[in-house]
Amino acid sequence: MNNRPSWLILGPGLLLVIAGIAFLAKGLYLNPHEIRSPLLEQQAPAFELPSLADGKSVRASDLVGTPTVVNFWATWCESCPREHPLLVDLARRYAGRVQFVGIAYNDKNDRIQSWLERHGGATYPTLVDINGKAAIAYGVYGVPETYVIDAAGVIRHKHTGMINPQELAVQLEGLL
Amino acid sequence: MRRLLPLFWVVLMSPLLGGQSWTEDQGEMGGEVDLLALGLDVEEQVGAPINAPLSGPALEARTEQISGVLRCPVCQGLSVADSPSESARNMKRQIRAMVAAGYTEAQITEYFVGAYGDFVLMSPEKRGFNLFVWLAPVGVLLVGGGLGLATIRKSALQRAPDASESTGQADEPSGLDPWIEKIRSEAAED
Repeated sequence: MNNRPSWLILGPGLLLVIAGIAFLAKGLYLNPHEIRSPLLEQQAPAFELPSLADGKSVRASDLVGTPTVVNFWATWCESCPREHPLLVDLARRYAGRVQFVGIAYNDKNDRIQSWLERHGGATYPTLVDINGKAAIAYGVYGVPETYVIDAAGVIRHKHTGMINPQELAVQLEGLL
Repeated sequence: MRRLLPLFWVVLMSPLLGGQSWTEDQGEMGGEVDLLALGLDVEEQVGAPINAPLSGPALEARTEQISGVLRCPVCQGLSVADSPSESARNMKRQIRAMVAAGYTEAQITEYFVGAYGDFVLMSPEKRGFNLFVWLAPVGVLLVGGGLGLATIRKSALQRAPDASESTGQADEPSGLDPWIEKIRSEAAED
């Protein structure tokens, strides 16, 4: 009789263990790259990058005044060939209302140029992030990653991975 | 314990990356660049450098030390110092450029946390929800130890009355006493 476990002690203990296991199990399914960016609702970080077309420097401040979609991508990125036409299509649809900018990350000009030629060209400018400084400033984990910036230069949305055109369109409509 | 924390974070936050639609890390630097050039955003994010500019072995040593406290964002639990990935190399170049300009460790970690969040720190800061990570093991040890001690004391207390009960049983008349007395008296007569 006296050796019977005290459920007053074991009960809460078991609950704690189960809660701990559930907490850790949930953690296994979290993707750290989908952690909410600390840059959301903040002024977009400044950068100065050369344009692929003519090598002239473009600053983040040059983009302020019109809603902007900034897409980090690379020629070695697996899903970028599938994402590119979606962005081109959106850029055409929102021409004059939203500006699109591609930032090629960790890549070389000749490779970027031939990649764009192979994939139907671009309807928007490409900037070259030679040493990844812009990617670091924006907290880029991998490519593609896309940022939606409002006319005041504030980051309103970040998308990790290939864009969903409908979702991005909803974000853009919210800014217009 | 500090060495185990990154492991804890890996277990807690490790992604199931199968089927992801983006690529973490490849590529290479596109050409000649000024390795000590700072991004335009640095000063607006963390202000002007506080320390004096560094160079030479002191610069490399400080870069290595700070690279050790920052997480490579595309790796599984590796610091920027330990990772061979291109992203980590980019981050290390940025750290070196900031140290060379005179930025302190606090300013540099603040810069990276501002872009990537607390996840970029190998050891989460002791504030807010992060305190749970630091205090939970101590709490579990205290609660577990307390429960263990309570259980040991309880079973010891239960054994003590049992012992007195068995002594009491020995003192009680067993019915054999007259026979024992008879054997003793016969032995004495012999």
